[in-house]
Amino acid sequence: MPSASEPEPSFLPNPILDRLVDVVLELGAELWIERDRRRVLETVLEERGIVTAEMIEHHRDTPEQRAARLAERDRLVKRLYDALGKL
Amino acid sequence: MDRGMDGVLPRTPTLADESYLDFYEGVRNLAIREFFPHVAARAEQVADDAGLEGRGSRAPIEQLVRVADADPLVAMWKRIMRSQQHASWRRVRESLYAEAARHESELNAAERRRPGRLHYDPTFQVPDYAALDIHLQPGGYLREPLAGRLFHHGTKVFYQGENDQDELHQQVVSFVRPPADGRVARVLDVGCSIGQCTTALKQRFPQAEVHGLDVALPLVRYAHKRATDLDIDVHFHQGLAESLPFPSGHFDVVLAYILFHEVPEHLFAPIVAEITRVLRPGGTFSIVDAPNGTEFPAGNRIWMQFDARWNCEPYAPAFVASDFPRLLESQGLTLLAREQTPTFLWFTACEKPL
Ligand SMILES: C[S@@+](CC[C@H](N)C(=O)[O-])C[C@H]1O[C@@H](n2cnc3c(N)ncnc32)[C@H](O)[C@@H]1O
Repeated sequence: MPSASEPEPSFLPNPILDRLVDVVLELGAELWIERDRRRVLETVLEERGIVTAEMIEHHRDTPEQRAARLAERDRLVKRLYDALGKL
Repeated sequence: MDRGMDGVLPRTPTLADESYLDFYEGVRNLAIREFFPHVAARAEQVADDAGLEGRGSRAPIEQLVRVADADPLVAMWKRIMRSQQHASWRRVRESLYAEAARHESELNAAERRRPGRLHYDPTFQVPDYAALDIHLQPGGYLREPLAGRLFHHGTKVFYQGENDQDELHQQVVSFVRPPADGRVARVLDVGCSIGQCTTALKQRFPQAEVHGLDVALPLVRYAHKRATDLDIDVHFHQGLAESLPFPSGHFDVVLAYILFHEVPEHLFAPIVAEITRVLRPGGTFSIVDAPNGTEFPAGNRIWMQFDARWNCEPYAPAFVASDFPRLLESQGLTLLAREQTPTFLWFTACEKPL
């Protein structure tokens, strides 16, 4: 029976390639985490003139900010990984 | 950290978790919206190139999968889909476990805050077939005390940002067919998970007593907490669809949203029989679930086989292959409607004859 804990399958011709895809996806995620935080930091700083870690965590995007943020995310994801769909 | 809610969606414990999951949601969107059409075309092409009898839509699935898996684009697509799924669950789980005691105490507090609405028996025996890590959710629905909140954050990514405010659950509930006489005093949501349809049903039928039932206690505990926070007065039960803890003729309306493709085939008839029993004459049963009984193009077949084998949906192929409308009729129900919803899911309505 399939389960989340069975050994990870290899879909690509060599398991090294499978693991490298994981690495590349994780790097992208870490990059986005940093960008997203910097964006929130700048937004809070612009609005309030002061910023704390607490303020960053509790910031809420306006609907426009959220839409812009997701559009930026989609651009980054596409730029990073579009090549993987051109096989 | 408690970062509150975004409407009806709880915010993740940290901004970094939110950014991480949003990123993988973007990866999922790319794989599905941009890559999949090419994957589907490629699957047809490799089936033709290999000269498979019946071509992409009718060749035996093992043969189709064998030739498709040798294609680099198909293989890469599967890798990304599976890695995205694992990564999302891992992150949600780690972030929730950083504050497990708080999440656990919130569940307990909700039970005390609104007593008499969450019904379970500590001696309840869960059948083995339900103990799967569906969609690779670690610990599945049953073995993970925080499975409810895990499911909420995980399915947020799964629904690709289109269900953040339960939009799809609202849409499902808008399809529900009320009885011809319009009388709706009691409503049941079978396989309710975290109760997103259950609360939407209460909003649609505010006068009715609304019940959600699911085999998984961690899910109904979270469903109760969620409904309590939203101040929507509904009941939740841990129980089995094939052995419902309600008297005969009790309900006017029953809904099963994507339940059937997650149960083994031998239970389809017993579950429908049991739902028919608890419906009153003239009561209706609405089902929204995977399509079935039709032919699919190669790309969809590849995706369904991938889901079954590599996304832990082992029961789904049997549902897709079944003649579900006939099964409903064989249990004494009359078919009222059958149509595709705006998603790939199908809506079926039937009635218990007077
Ligand atoms: C995909 S989920 C349903 C989603 C849910 N209806 C919603 O609104 O999001 C399938 C659910 O069926 C439950 N389930 C599986 N077998 C069951 C059974 N025999 N009786 C009751 N619930 C069951 C699972 O625990 C799981 O929560």
